[in-house]
Amino acid sequence: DRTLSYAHGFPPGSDTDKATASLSARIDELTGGKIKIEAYPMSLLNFLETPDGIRDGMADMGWSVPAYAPALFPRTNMLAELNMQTLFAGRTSNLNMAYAGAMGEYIMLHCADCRAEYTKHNQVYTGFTASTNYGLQCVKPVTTLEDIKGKRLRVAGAQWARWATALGATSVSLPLNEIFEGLSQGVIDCVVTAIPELTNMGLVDVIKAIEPSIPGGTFASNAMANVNLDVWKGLSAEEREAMFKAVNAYAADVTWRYEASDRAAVETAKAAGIEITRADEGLMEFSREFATKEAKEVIGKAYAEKFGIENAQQMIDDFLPILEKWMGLTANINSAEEIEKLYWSEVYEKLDRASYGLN
Amino acid sequence: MSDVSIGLSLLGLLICLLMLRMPIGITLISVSFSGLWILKGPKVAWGALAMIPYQFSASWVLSSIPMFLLLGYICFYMGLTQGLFRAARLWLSWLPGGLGISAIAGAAGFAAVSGSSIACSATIGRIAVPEMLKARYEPGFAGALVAAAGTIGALIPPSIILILYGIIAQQSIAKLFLGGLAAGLVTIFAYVTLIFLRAKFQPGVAPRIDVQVTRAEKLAALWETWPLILTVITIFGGIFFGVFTPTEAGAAGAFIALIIAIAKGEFTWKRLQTAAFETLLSTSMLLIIGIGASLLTRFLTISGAAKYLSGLVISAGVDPTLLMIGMVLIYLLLGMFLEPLGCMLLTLPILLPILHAQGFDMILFGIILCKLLEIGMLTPPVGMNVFVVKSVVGNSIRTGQIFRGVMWFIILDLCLVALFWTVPEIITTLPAMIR
Amino acid sequence: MSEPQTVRVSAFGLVLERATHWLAMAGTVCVLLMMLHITLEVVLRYTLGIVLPGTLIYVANYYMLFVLFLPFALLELKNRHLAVDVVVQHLPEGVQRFLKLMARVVTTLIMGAMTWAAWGQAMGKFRLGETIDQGNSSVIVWPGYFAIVAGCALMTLVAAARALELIVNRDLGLGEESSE
Ligand code: NA
Ligand code: NA
Repeated sequence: DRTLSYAHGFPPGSDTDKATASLSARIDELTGGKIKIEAYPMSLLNFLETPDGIRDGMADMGWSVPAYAPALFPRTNMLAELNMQTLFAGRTSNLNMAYAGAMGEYIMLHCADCRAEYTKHNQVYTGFTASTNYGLQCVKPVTTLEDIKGKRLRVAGAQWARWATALGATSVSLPLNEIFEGLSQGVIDCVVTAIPELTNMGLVDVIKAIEPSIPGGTFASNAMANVNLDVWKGLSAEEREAMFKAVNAYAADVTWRYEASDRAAVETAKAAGIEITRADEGLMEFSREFATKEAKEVIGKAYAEKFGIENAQQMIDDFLPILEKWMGLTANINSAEEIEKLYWSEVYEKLDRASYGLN
Repeated sequence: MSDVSIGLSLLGLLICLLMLRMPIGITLISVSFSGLWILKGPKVAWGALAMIPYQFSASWVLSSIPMFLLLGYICFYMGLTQGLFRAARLWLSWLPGGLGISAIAGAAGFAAVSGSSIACSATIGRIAVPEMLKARYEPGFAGALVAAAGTIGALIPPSIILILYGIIAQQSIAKLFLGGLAAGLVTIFAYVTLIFLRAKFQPGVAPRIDVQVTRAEKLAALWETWPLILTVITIFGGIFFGVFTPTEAGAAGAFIALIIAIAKGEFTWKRLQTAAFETLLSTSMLLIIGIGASLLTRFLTISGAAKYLSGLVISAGVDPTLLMIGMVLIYLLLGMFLEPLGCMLLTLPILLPILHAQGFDMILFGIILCKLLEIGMLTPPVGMNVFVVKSVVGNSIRTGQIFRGVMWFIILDLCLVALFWTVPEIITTLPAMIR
Repeated sequence: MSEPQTVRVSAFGLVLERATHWLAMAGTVCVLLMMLHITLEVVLRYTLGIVLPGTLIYVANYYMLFVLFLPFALLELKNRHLAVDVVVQHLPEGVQRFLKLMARVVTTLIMGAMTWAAWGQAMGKFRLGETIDQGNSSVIVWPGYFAIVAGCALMTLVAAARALELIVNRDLGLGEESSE
């Protein structure tokens, strides 16, 4: 019998933290209590500390955010950075499960190099999720190319920063806890983020308009259930099988909670009198062209140069059809159970689970 | 030996070592390192020792501590704060404990631009304690009232504790700030009353100063305070009109103070160097303990000792008032040793679900938590505010004297916690005014 | 015989003392630069709407580390650590002296360990070329790790020298303990 510690950097009581109950319950049930998982929200490791913390064994497993360790996990980050491709889905709902599914499938089934990055840091990648669609949350409606010119946008991501620059706007870095003040004091005009952040960060009081469709994309640089490699090797084949199932349930739970809170946040926003705008065709077309150019010419080249990923463009070309498939697979999903089934049949079931992560 | 008992044993060892005058930061780091080694082996211990010092220090929010300290030291060394206490002495000397009351007033003003109680204690302590000692205040009382006055800094916005709590508990930071403002004002009133009454009935602790001054002298003294008042107004205005954020306000404020000092002809390179030098020493002196506390937090979390301690109290009862009393006890206990932010991070994971289940008002709880954590800044053996006052006044007061004097304020603070709990409207009315 | 030895030992102390002060002086420069950098960011943003890229990163990952760790040795040299002196002041002189020695030995050991750990970490980050993303570009952040190595290493030496002073009962030329 052993208890595995699971460290994540989300606040206690947050949606993500609540979902860890699925992880604990499922592993308990599947192993008959032989393996237990105890979650530590923020208290054991924060996001910046997690990759090294898992490597050294401070936590047995945890939520690594590759975006915070660009030099460690460049391949995952490159895939995550293609996220503005979601502009071609023609919708703003259920994109998180699509993008996460595509990343999970590609990393776990098709990209040994991606997995090697984790192994090299003494951990095994076993689960995937993504935030909901990124939109513009502004103090004034922004729907046209004219509107956005000269605006100061708080963005957290290289691609969104380039998009802002291309539009003649300025991208500003601001810590999370200063966004509220930044908006109310005019340091920034808009935040590029997922809609639930509106309530999470208490922005309802300052935001006046939400543009849900642009810039698009999700935050998908999540290795949500990385397991310390020594711990992983110490588990029996049945225990590892149980881990896959428990992580699958947890990933589905987290992903669905994000989607559900996104839908709820839109209602909250409407009730608070916040205008939900619709970007005009000029701005949409500009953004789509930008996303295409990024995938064809910019991102692969940048990662090849900066991190020496020789087959970067090839990786992108392989990944995009998978993403397209997933945008189709997820169009009508309406529950965590459906996500769990989909992730299992499309990813975990096809995996050589007996040997995954062991060599 | 179970993990929990290892955790508790090492906590006991820590207390013993601290009692033997081991440097606090060094002891926290040593005990946590050994503890992690015993529990999880050398790899984890070395890993934590390599990672935590950097991760703790490399923080934008934390940068406001050296910057607010610098602001305080510039004001002090360039003579911007001298006028304030001259004026306070002239205007308030007729009151029993007048100097002490003006120290509280000064702390309240400084609190409005400082996010941490440490910076507040350091700045006011450096100015007010020598003045009070000169006026023959009982040293323990003088040191204690400044240590306590510092806690106002964490209540009146901006407050780093409240910002962090807001993020973790997902509460509106604006609301927390308004609640903190209410709690801060009540605390100021209570402290002033305490000083007034003690000085009135025990004149030995705070002798009355007998200053014969004319109205003209008083007005002249008031005029002398313009550099500081201008600094404060500029900082306030800067935050209010969105020129800079509260985190940036320390740096901008220090720069403004510097400009005002130059205009006043008080600037010398030597003074600037001294101010920066003192900032440096104070910052690293405090933050080496922060690193230790951060390591201890991980050790206690991994050993399960923290959870065990909290669980003991929680299991005692589920009645909200009993629960509240349990929490007060937990925070008094943990606050003896832990630095507030570490302590908060350690306990909220366990407490928040229970609080949600009980239907607690989370704004009210945040303010009460802040108050309890700040009491921890005053309690021995690790009372950061007391140490800060000690560090800025040097050898004129012994730490033990301050700890004894601070007991009055701790009891008063506990009464205020009880007051906020029984009459929550004191805290919740202001925040309820914004949506 | 004893004369030249004393000179050599004092020279060692003097070098340590000088190094400690130079490192601390570099730290003071960083405090002031941090203030100017943040103020410049504020002024440019408010007057011209220009945003200096990476200010947050420079403050957190450069200035903060220099400001915090470079004065570590000075903290030890001046013995400006915070400690609880409630009990010890009532103990006999000899016991106090022993406890002081113990504190310094422990400081030497744990700071030595921290130097070693920080060195490993710093070299690892250096080889990796650790960066943090800033908008469309990225900022190198590994140099900050070496501030920890420098500060802790010198602190280890100073603590060891102070311990040695107590053992051999001789002034090694490190200067006065407290500045106040
Ligand atoms: Na404050
Ligand atoms: Na305490």
